This record gives sequence, C-alpha cells and structure tokens, in this order.
Amino acid sequence: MAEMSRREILKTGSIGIVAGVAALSGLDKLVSLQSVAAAGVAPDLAALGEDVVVHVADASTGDVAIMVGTREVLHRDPQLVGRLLAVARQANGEE
Amino acid sequence: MSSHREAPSISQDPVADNTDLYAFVSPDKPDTVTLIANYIPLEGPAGGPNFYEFGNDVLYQIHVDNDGDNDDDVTYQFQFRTTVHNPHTFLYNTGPIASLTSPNWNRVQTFSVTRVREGHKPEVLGTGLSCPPVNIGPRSTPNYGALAAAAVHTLPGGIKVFAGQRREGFFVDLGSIFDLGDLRPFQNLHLIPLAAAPGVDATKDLSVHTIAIQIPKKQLTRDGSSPTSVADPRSVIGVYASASRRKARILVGAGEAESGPWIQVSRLGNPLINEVIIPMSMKDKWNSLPPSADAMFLGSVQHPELAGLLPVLYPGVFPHLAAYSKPRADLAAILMTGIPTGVVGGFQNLTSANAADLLRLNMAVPPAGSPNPLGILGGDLAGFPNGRRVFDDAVTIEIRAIAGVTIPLVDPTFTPDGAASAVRDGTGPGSGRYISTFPYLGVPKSGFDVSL
Repeated sequence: MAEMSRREILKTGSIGIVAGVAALSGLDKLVSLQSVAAAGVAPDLAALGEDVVVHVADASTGDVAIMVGTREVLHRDPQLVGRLLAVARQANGEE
Repeated sequence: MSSHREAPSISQDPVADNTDLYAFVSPDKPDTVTLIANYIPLEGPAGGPNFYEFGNDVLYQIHVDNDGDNDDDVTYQFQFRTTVHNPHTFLYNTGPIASLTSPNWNRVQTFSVTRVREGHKPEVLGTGLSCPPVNIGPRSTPNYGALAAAAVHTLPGGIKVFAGQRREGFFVDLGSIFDLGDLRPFQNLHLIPLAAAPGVDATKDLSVHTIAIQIPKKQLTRDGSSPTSVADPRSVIGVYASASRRKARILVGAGEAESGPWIQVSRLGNPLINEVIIPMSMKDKWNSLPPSADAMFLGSVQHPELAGLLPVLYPGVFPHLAAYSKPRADLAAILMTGIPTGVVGGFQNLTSANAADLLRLNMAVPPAGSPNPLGILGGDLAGFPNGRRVFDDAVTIEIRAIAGVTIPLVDPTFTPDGAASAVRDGTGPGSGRYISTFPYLGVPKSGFDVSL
C-alpha cells in the first residue's frame, strides 16, 4: 500500500480520512455495512473504544478501508466515497 | 553496518530499526537457545535528558520457522509501556537509581512477552516486566551492572528474558567501509591508495537496545524433540526479527492516535543482507516483506554488487573473482536456503530449497570450547553462519565469502584469490563488550564515561 505521510491526513470530526488510491493488501475481509447504516445506528465513537480511520482505497470502485483497533476491513460503498471526496475537494479549495 | 540505518525509510525511524540478530546455543546452558534482537542504531550513551528507549508504539517480534516452510511457527512478541512518575520535572531521574523500584527513577519502561504458536491462541508469558534504566553515570546509576542484572526475568517454561540497553556487540570500521569500500589494513592496494593502517572500531563505545530471550530447545523444535543429531532436519531452525507499526497514525495536538493492523517496517535475518546485497530502490520493500517472499531478491544474492566492486576498488588483487561469472550458489546457500549436507563436513543447516533470509541455527551443534569469531570459516561449526554469536566477526566472514573464499564449497573448479582469505576491516571484539552469561552482550558504557 502506498506510504502515507502525516501531512496527507485530514481529520474530519472524529473520523480520519486518508485520501488516495492504492493497492489493497492485508485486508481482513470484505464487509458490507449497509445493514448497519440502514438500521440507523447512532454514532458513538466512545462506545467503540477505539479511533476509527477510513482510507479511500480505490475511488473508482468505491472501496474504503476501515481501520479500528488492529483490524482493517474493506467496505464497498461508492455513494459514501462520493460524499467523502466531495468534502475532500471542498477542503482542498476546489469547491 | 549489520543492519543499522540500512534502508532509506527505516533510517528515519531508529526505535523500529533492527540492527543485529543473534541466535546460538547458550554456552552456559546448552539445553537452551538464546535469541537476541537489537534495535536503535548508533546509540550514544550520553543521549539525555530523553535517553533512548523502546518504542511504545512498536511491535517487536522474533520469529522462528522450525519446519522448513519459511513461515512463522513460533513467534515471540514484545510490547513496551512507559510510565512517568513525576510529570512536573524534566529529569529522567531525581537522584541515584539503586534499584528497579527506585522512586528516583522518573521514566520507567516495562514490557510484555507474548508467544504465538501456529495453530494456537496467543499466550501471554509475562506482563509488567521491568526494563533497566539506561546507564547514565556514577551519580545516577552507580551500580549499573547489578541494576541491569535485576532486569533478567524468568518466565513460565524455563524461559529467561531481558529488554534494555546493552553494549553494542557489532564491531566494524564504519568510517572506512563507507569511504568507497576502504579496508584500512589493505588501503595501500585501494584504487585511491593511502598507507595501510589499523582498523578503527566505530561502535566500541556505543549502546544498543536489546531484546534477549533464552528458550529451552524443546520449545523450538517442530515436534518438541530435543535436537541431538546434526543431520536431522528437526535440529534446524530459521530465525528473523522484525519491528512493526500500526497502519495509520494521526497526530492530534500533542498526542496521537493509531489504528489498523501492524505493518512490518523493519526485519533482519542474516547480517548485512539489506545493507550491502539489496539495491537502494528495493531496500524499503525488502523491509516490508516476510522472508518467504525473498525469491524476488535471489538474483541480488547470486550476483552481489560488492563482488563486482572489489576487483575495481582493489585493482589486480581479485583477478579470479573478476573472472567468475556464475551465479553465486555458495552465497545463496549460506544466506537464503541454509547449507545442505555434504558441503561442509559434519554439518548442515538447510531449511528449504526456497529462498528466504533466515538466520539458520542447527541446535544439535554444541557450543565451542574455544570459539573462533570466524565461525565456520574458522572451522568452528557453532558460529556464523550456523546462527550467529555476539562476538562473531560478521564483517570479515561476509567480506571473505563475497570475495570468493566460499565458492569452492559448491564449485571445486574455482581457486580463490589469495586476498580472499586475508581481507578484513581490521577491527575485533575488544574487551568489555560481552559477558559470559545471559544476556551475553556487555554492560553499556555510561554517558559520563564516553565522549562522542
């Protein structure tokens, strides 16, 4: 996976977003979180007990790598990636 | 150096930088094997007020392959934690540190040991184990040898462990070797000649951070047997050490958050591989990969750049080496597969025909009564490249091997150049560098006693 520098990290609220395109390796599994999102689970990072880092691994496929604890799962969600990139473009002064 | 600052990325991350790895049958307890992984290169003893320590955010590991598949079968994991007792002082210590529980020691580091065996759940062997403080000087650490000895811990199953500062055991003339491959005793023969001179040991006063673990042999063999036969494949283990960091790190104010799986950032099996064999563009990648992926680097071992440079840097000294164009099967065996039966009389440490940089130890070879720092090259089967002892002269052994002295082991048609068995950097173990008992590396010099 491409090396991340500290400067490439944008912190948005409690969720770190790392933008970039990189080959995926070492991911635990491909998971679908649609059911979690659909259930309307209230955001509660403290209850999770861990920081969460989301890496846009491949914007073209909508793949995001979600890191929590020592786990990393791959989640495919083009709509989520679209929203994240929109925020990123805004942060980058493009919009 | 062995693996000190050997790759661009890890050179900027000293606490995660593997410097040396040793594996040998314990001379004073021959039913055990001692594994030593060192980190933090070129550590100046006077490095206060924030003295050197292990990284609390680094996963340190020593990996053992015991069935020849080049994958981990037994792994020992070490993780560290620092406690600051008095956050209102800038001092490391507020008075003499007479014991590991001294209230004068302000910045205390402890560690845990976890064993991971293939097919088993991880086993925590120890937690809250004390590291010693660093050796500061006669006022702060007045009886350092005893203080550090108290930090040798006994774990379940007859395992001993130590983690903390020790004297650097690796001796080398850094200043000359990296000045266009100069070897001072032979520099009158160099392409840019100077008068021959004795070697200068660049590391003799330096310290290192050592993780040492002594393990009953039976806990390392694939079937719990006691290795007694040199010819038995079960007697051979392959070892490497590594350091890993979490995949993501976010700096938030004065703090930081980390997340994701552990990603390997450094590894070390045999000395000097990533240092002088692997090309610059591949060094960081090499550090990120397991040894089982080393087939991609086999070409660099079979055709080492240094073997081509020696005849250029020392004109007329290595004509036979210059004319030798075959793949270096001797180096591939020594470094990447182990030495098969029939190459060195009465010895083998082959683990696999597949290339992997592992430090291979045949545990059935007993400790030498009169060890020779040249190891197998010196007729001592208990030394490098059968594992590696703290005093083995890895620089001389590898320079001579690359210069061609080991080619006849696999190619009897080759006659080494006369210089191949004579080249050396002119440094030696020296006094005070080692002790005869665990953890075998000597007491580090204090910052008070060293001017760097």
